[in-house]
Amino acid sequence: MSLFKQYSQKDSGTVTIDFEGTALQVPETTTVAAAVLSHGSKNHTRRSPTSGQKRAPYCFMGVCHECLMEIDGNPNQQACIIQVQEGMKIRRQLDLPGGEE
Amino acid sequence: MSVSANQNKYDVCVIGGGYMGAAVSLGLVQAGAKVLMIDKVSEVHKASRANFGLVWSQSKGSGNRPYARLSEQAVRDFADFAEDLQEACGIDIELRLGAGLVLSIGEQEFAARSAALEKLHHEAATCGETHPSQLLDRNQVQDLVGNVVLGDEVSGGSFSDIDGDVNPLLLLKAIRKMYLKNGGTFIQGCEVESLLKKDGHYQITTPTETVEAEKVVLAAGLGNISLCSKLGITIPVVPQKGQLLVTERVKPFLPLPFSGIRQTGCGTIMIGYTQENTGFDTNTTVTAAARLARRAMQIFPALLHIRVVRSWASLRILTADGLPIYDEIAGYPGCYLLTSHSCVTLASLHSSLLPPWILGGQRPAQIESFNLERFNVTI
Amino acid sequence: MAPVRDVIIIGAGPAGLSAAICASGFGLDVLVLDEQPTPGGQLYRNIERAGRDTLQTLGPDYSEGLNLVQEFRARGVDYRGGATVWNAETDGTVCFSEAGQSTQIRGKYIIIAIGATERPVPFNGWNLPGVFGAGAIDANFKSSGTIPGSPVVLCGSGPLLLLVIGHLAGLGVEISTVLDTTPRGNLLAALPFLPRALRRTDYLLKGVRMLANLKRSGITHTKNVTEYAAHGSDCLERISYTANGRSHEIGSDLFLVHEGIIPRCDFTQLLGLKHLWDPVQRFWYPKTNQFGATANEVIYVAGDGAYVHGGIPATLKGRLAALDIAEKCQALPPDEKAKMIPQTEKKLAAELAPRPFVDAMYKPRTNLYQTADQTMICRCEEVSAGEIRQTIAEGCREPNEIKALTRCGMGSCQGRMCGSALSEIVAEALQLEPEVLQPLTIRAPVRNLSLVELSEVALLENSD
Repeated sequence: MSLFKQYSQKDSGTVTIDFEGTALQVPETTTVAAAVLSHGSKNHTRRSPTSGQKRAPYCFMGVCHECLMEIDGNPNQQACIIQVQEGMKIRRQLDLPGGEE
Repeated sequence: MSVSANQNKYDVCVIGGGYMGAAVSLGLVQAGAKVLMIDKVSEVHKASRANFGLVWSQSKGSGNRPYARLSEQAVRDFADFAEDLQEACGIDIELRLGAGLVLSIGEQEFAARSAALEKLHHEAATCGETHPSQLLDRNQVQDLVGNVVLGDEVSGGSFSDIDGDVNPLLLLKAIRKMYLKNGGTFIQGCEVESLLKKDGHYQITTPTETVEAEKVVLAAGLGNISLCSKLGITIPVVPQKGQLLVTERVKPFLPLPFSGIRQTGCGTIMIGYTQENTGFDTNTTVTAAARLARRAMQIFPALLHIRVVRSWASLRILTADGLPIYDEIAGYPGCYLLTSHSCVTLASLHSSLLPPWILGGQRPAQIESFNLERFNVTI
Repeated sequence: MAPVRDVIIIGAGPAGLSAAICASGFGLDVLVLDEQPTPGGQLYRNIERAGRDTLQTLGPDYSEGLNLVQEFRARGVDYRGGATVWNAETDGTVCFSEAGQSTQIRGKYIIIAIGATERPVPFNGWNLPGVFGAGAIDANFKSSGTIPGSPVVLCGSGPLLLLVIGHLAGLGVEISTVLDTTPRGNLLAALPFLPRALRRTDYLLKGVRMLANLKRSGITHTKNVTEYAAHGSDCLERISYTANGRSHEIGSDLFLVHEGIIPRCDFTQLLGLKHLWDPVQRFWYPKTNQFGATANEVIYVAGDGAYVHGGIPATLKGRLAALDIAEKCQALPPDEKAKMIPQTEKKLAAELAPRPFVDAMYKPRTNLYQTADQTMICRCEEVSAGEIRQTIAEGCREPNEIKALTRCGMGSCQGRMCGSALSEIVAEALQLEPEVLQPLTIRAPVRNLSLVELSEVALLENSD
């Protein structure tokens, strides 16, 4: 069960985003972090680079940095601040970045 | 409660608990002396908290054979030094030895590096010795680094098969811990307010106590400037700013340390460093950060999207000729001035070579030329 | 983009918006840089897209921001959403990142209006998914329209906690229980400030109403909670807590915690400005005059980032900063000055009347940071309280030194989540007040930048 769910937003359109290969239809006014936590059936946004522990956003305002996700190939995006866009590709960061190309 | 008459009397008082002070203090207690090490907690002049972590000999001592020799010996002694530390206090200082590179970008840098090595080798040969460095071309560098992609402009560099790196903060922690285990006394957060020469000893006063020591060692880095001025001496020591960047943790991919780029034990990559003569200012600048970032990417294009998480600047302790000072101050018998900007590399020697001399032995031949009088200092 | 602007405002919350409206009204060239995609800051977050339901549920504290944002838009102020500032210098030079590219720019004056954050108070298990700030959930609702999907346990102390409880209840979220950590005796200690607070009965009644609603709701409201912890293997499963000296444990998927609000001093610390310590609310705040000016002529601070006073005071402080700057730019006619400054100051004084009472009512408990050794203080680098205490026992007495030796504060969040706790733990161990300790040193970039972006920053010296 998701940690979050959508509160009815009668006047909001939707967009389709790709979360790790799964297409999700989400309200266009939602943030990436919220979309993942409410529609993506995952309870975490990343794994800690230090220990691999699952982490989810704590502050939802860009301070705690637990919401860092890969968006459209760009790593370390603050998903709690970024709004979804049509076609966005979102992935959790589950491992350290590799040094090799 | 009665206060022991000897409580505040020491054989040696070492002022400064950074790499220099701690390493020397360690050797002193191991030699059986009663030692007090004092460290002032200071935000600015704490070079020991800002070291890059190289254990390095290959680029040192150009124009000064004794210093080249000293650096080489220190590196060669480091493995045993580290082993003793590890055994005594159980801290793994993440020492890697056996490979170190100074990379060149472009033909001009390579030519300069080549000339520099030639000079070092020539100076060694003149004494019937060798220098632990060799010039590598780009292909040879590529062979060494294996899968890591080198930037197009990397032209080669110098290599040493004895150099390496260490976790500088753990090294300091380990040296201090071993010092304490050997019975040394360590007071932190204490500034020396006065340093007075008395009859047969020195009197050192801090805000909380007054101690007597037969000998005093000034190992306070840039703090030595004010300590010496208390004795009426102006020493030729100036700060030089070095800025550096630290990245997020990255999967281990740099197989050896490079001068200016190394991957630490926890995976972060350190990218350095500048050499700026800006007095005591330790502000980081965007211009320098951008330049460091650019160079890092020129060397390893794979670092493109890696995040810089921290940057900082600290002050090197430079003497006028860039070489150490290990000297007993004339007019102040028993008062020793120690300063060097390579105190990680030299830690092994600072703990083995200097203490017997400080405790009254012969001045070691290896440090003969690193005196104060070469600067014509007025006392 | 012009390399030099009259005023650069960092942050588009109530203070920033108000300052921008005022400054631009006097003809100053204003640039607003904000990391959020749309104006509103945290208080009025995403307000332009809020539906009628949302505006109604969140009430006037939120909906009154719509006018402010609309007026801001109507003025046509140069506004950059999604622009994250990562450096600020004492001469007004600022670097910001937008869509992966960084630019350096200068303001003749800078207004730092980045606001405040929920006080990060580590406790055992706070790193588990399922544990969130209470204000965070409120902010998340505003910015995404999502609400908790399971019953929640709320915990902590402060006016915002009460507000969030009201919001969640209004949104139909089931609240299992409220664990209240407000210390017994706070009310008594706050009484001396009550007379002054009574000047604003409307404000006090609001609080009374929230408390009454809570009581009427039947939600279990456990008081005198002195400690709590979260448990679970890789996400939250149970919460344990001590109340009135007795231990309890409850199962839960969601734990929302709030222990007050503290100013964000990222830039003011970076700039090396003087800060003062508030011993009641336990936070650092930058030293400013009545206009928000710092000792540095060029740098101003407005809003909750100057001191935590809330939304309306923030708009007034923003206006005062803009007025002062307008005067310095010789753009403020004397008759406007004579009218607007006293008017704004009077309104601000009225708004601030209840604050000493509120601050004393919600003074944090003394054991706020006395957490167990196993608690993860630094979330990024996973450094425990025990490790920090061990380092102190081994002779370290300074937060920056402890950072160097333990890595606490060296991760992505750059010490934002652990900095307060680190100082408090050191203070407790050394029997000092955090006031005498140097906070963690802050250096640019104060956000994580990629090497390529940093290497390509468009520097002022290179602009035409």
